Amino acid sequence: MIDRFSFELPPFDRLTADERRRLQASLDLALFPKDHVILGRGAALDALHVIVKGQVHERRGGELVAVLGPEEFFDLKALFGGGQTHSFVAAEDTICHLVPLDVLADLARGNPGFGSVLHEDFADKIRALANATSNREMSALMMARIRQAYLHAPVHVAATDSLRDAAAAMKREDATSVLVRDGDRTGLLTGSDLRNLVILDGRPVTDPVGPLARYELLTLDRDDLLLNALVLMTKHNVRRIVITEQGAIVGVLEQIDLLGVLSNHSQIIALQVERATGPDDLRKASHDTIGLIRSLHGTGVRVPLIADLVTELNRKIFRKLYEMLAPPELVANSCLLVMGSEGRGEQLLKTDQDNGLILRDGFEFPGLQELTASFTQHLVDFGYPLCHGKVMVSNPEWTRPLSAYKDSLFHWIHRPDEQAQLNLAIFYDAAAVAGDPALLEEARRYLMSKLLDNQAFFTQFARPTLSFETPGGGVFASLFERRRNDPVDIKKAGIFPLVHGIRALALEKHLTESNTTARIWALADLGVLDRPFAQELADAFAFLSTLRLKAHVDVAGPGTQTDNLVRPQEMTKLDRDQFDDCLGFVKKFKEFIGYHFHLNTH
Amino acid sequence: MTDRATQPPAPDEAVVVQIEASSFDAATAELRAIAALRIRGPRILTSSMLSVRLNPGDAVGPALDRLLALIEDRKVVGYYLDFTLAVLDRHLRPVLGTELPNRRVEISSLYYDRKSRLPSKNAVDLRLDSILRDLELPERDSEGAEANALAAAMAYLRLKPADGG
Repeated sequence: MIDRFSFELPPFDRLTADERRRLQASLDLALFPKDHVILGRGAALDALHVIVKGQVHERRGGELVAVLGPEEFFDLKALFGGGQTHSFVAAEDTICHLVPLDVLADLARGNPGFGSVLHEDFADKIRALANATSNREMSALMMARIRQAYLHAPVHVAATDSLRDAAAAMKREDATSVLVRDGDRTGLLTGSDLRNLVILDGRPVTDPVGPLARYELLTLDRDDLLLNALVLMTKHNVRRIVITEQGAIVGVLEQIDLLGVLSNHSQIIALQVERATGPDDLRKASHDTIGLIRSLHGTGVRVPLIADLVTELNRKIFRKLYEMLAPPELVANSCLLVMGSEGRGEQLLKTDQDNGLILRDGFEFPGLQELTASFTQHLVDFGYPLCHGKVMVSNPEWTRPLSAYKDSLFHWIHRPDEQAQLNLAIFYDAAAVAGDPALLEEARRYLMSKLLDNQAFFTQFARPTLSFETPGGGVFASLFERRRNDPVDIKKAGIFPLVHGIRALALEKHLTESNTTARIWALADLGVLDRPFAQELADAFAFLSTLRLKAHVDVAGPGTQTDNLVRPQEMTKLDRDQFDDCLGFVKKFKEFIGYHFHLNTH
Repeated sequence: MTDRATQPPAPDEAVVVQIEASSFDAATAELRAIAALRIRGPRILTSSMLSVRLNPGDAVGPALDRLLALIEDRKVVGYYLDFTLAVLDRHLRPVLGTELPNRRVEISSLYYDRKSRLPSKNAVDLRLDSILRDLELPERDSEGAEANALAAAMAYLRLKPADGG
């Protein structure tokens, strides 16, 4: 009958008669009409769907990833806690058996043969995905470290303790194994060992565990690759590995937790960059970051974390490219800078390149002009558009000796016109990515030493914070309900005032931090901002950045620069309320800046 | 109508009920088996299926208690539901004081409604096996209450209007 599960289907053929009965009893049936979305992206999956009849399409974004038919099942990723990034749609009228995930996990725990086949299926699937170019970000997770996985705290018993003591310890600590201390040796005793020893071998529960534990432990260091743990488990057909750090046991890694991590993380692009042998490899890595951003955002990773990762990758790409183009003596006598949002580490999408080169005084390099032009051109090729303000190494204004940089800084401070202000703001956000960072430090030291406690300078510098209107916030928003529906330029109304106001405060306090959030907390440490206000600003900044990324991802896909408009009426109620709150904080912050720098009296 | 019936039923939920009886005369037939299945959205909750066999002389009460607990205020679905409920109501009326007040959905009427919208010279074939075949659903492997309940549940999911009614 249709409700009978077909146990000839691997890996379910590994189940014992009892386990089959258990699975059969837990089974539900589902009928999906053609075109029914069985699982939307981001929906929680509570059961493994085994197709009995019909056909299901697995989709990722707009793309068809797989066509599944009878006897195939989906989605194992859900079992191991991975975020659901794919959607499943019935392509025909479809009937599925539903195996509840908790039952499946229990069966996998209780039956190692079944569990490991299930896990291997999953590992195969991950490998297959890693091989597909469209899923390169999946392979990033193959570089994840054991450190990223949940470790079960070690539960120790003495060698003289009885089997019953061991069972009690497992129950008390909710553990599936214990570590046995026997002099210098440490052994492992698992729940299934206990079962076999007592129930099958008939040993008295009063026997000491010392002689019964296994002492040839499989161990890995906490900094080993998770992939190695998976390989080791599969090879030895075990489901847990003892994890050490500097030789000392720090915990037990269970297979199920390992797979949980493998279904999420990523770092492969970094490796791609490290191994790049020419600009073509780097271009590829650069384009792959776009998919990475989309995928991380899709799995719900918080935007500040994505920004950290993308910043790291972009800088690696810049460094590698510079080292490919520049001979070692040039690298040793120069410092490559990224500035603006790239310098602050807040770059998500590929916006204009802002970069420069500081040369050691007295160092000459023939052919520098061709080299910097080539650097800029390669970056354009990688997808970083030219800078409208020409803040690029190919512009001799931004590729100059340290002494010339100092002259410029002096000029920017003492004759502050609009362009000078802009250059100063961009330069203050600089970060060194290749060559000798001491050159940037020296330039920055010089900048700070020339910044007098000149109120007029800071008033001028801070003024752009108030350049753009920030709409909404509070009572007026609800009075003018219709205006609320107008699109809002999130960069002008929210992000720029925050970034620039914080930058002005940071410069005034001679802070060396370049990241906006780091600056907010440094200002709180100095007492310039009180802590609750700093927290509100940091949260507002993170939220606005998230909305901005969302707007880009939804409209045109990341990597293309589009407008910065967000439309409040298209947000969920929750987002809209938070957006209003954020704009409220930005307004409050602008008032604070106006007061702090006396902007209203000048 | 009782108050109970005016309460909103669980959205998109239904219970399929099928019985086996000693004859087709609803006034005298004895209950031999009851099978009931809950339906939630596109799912048939076979894991919580109620399936009871009754031998002549067995008390019917406990089985009916379990059936009522499964049905609650959900609409009741079945094939040849009038017969099923006529037999059940004979036992329920002394307990409830009334017949089962829930909304009723007859599979064969759902099917008839769909078929009669299409122009055809032929009379609509309302036999359960014919309905299953026409809807491209798996055949029954027996004519017992369990198999009928499962078949009726699948037919219901194929036939029910999109709004869940």
